[in-house]
Amino acid sequence: MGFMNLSVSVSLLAVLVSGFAVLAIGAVYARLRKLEHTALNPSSARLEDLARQVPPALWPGPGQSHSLILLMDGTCSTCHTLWEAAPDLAGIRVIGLLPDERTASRFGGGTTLADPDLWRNLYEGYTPCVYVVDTAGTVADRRYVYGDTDVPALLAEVLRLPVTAAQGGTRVH
Amino acid sequence: MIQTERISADGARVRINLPEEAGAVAWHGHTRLAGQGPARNYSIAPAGRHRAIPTKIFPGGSGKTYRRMGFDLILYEAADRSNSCLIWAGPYNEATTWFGGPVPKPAVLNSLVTSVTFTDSADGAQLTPRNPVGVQQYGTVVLGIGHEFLLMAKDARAGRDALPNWQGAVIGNSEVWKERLDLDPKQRDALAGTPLEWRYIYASPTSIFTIAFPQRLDSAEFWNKKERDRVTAVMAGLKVEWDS
Repeated sequence: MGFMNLSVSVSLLAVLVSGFAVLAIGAVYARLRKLEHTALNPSSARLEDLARQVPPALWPGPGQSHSLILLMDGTCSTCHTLWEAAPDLAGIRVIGLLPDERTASRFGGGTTLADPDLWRNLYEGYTPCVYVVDTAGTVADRRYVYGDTDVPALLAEVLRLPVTAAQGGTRVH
Repeated sequence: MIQTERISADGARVRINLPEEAGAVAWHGHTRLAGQGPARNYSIAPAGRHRAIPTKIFPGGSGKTYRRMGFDLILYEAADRSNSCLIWAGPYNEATTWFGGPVPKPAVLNSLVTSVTFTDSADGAQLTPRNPVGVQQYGTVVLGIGHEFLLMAKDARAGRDALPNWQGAVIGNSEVWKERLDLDPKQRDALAGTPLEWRYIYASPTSIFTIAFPQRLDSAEFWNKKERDRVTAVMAGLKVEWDS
């Protein structure tokens, strides 16, 4: 007479199966809880601005309220139009951000920054783009610029300036 | 001959051959997603088309923009709250869905926004269900709107049932039918005998596409030789391949 008779082995198997069942239910419950806290939660405010922080190198300097970052590349003609229309404004740090030194050298008459990592950090699949960054380093606005965009009006809008203040390009190409 | 490659809303690559006579084309599109709850229509348009909504479509209405990575979410509502829409506005293209009533509750908007992924590129915008289980995407169309023609292309497998059941003419590797446009009597009389009174349906091995030449009769010279040559060139050179 062996120790493992039929009823003992069946009950051991049953214990094993119920152990798996408890594990499976636990896993399903955990996923359901996670879903309740995210997608199924009606009060989770998903329709809101994406919070974005830019690296400190792009923050406004002391005494400045915002930085205005013009994300450009060397191939688009709209970039030059945007760069020429960008104004010099007191209290605002205006930066032309480019991926490399060679393209940055084509944009004269203002502060350009050639940094592939910073550029990639901001790039969203389109150039030129205008970013407004506040003193906390948060992106306060982001706009795409096209060939037919009224740049002074757009800048006045994103910087909340009176329209006249931002009119007239001061940059020399 | 100009070959354009577009990405349809469901991610298929669509190659369209149009002769140079066709002129500039604005690429639009359409798709539908049905899962739990009613099916939702999305129309794709070139970027910036939504700017007509606050002034022309919902004058005096409200609009709100939410910034996302690579696109904006824009919510417009009519002043009398009779209609509203949600737009995924990317740098190249935008997708719009209409609610036909006031802006839905935040919970509904949340689940709508979390249920689809919007991917924009210069070749077309894509809408994909984030969780594809139990969600069907259908009715996907690529629309080319030229100055004087309208091209509608879809996957051959999706449009098979809509084809005429009689045999069409064989042109190249396509079968072609023509169908009389539903015109008002004045237009019908003016266009009688020209190719402009028909819509042409092509069935190629991978795509079913339709071309029509909508006309404005206010121009006296709507059917001169130049126009005739243009229509002939467009018809002769048109080719669509749908690669899904």
